[in-house]
Amino acid sequence: VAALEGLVRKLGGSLPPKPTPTFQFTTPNFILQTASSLEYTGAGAYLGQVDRIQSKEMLAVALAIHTVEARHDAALNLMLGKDVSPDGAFAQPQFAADVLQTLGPYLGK
Amino acid sequence: MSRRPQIPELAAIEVAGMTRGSFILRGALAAGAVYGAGAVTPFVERALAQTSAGDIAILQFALTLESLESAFYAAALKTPKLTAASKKLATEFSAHEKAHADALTTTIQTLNAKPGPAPAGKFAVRDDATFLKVGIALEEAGVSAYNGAAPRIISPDLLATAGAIVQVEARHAAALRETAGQDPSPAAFDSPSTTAQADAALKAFGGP
Repeated sequence: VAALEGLVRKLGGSLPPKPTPTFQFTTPNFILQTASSLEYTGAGAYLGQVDRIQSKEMLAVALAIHTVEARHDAALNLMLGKDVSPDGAFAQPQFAADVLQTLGPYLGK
Repeated sequence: MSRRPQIPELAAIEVAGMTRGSFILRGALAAGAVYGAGAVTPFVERALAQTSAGDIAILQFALTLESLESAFYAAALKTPKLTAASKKLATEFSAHEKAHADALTTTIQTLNAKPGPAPAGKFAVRDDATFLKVGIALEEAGVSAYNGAAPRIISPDLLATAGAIVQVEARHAAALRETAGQDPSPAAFDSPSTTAQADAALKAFGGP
């Protein structure tokens, strides 16, 4: 988050308002599943944007974050006994509509 | 320097949840497997019209990497000493690397270049511990090589495909690390490798 805030400022943009999400921490398994869903969406959201990023510097940062999100999701999936790579050999990108649909419940939308 | 499409909106067209690039290359792979690479060449050539000589060099490097990874998992699966958990991962990852190598081969052929020969590879896999150790080193080399090369890719289509592949490499690295009792994501940012670092990493595993 700090790196992205720095980039947005550097490019002369203003920061979006911080979301105030609500998460239900009921069972350990549910927490892992929520985390996996967020990380899967995060990795896919970065992937959905890589071929549209004009700045090489920003692309390098996005890629460096993208694979870390994927690592988190893979580790969570392994703990949950799920497929490490749910999309198979090629990861699926996630676009704005998909991302908002996944994140909506956490944002009260 | 940056050669974007004349109508940038075209690059943003989404086909059933996929980017144009990943759609075209996956479609080409599927069609090429059935009808041969020649059948899909004109279609994919148009899609990859912006590809540069640098892109082809990156594709050739990626093919060498994926061939080595594929050979590694094949060698590992012959070792009777893998645990059930490792064997499951090796079986799954082996199929992914094969799919990556096939997709890269088809793409290189479509761009009228000759795919480089698959290196023999040399891997010291004796037991479960050495499987995890070599596997982690190889997958990590892959993640940093793709992340290092991707910003130099000119074609947005190839960039999208490289992204779809590197994400899976990172998932492999994380799963192997966790199985080995290591931190699956040791840093908040995955550091990219330079071309020289990436070449040296492959050489250690029997690459050219």
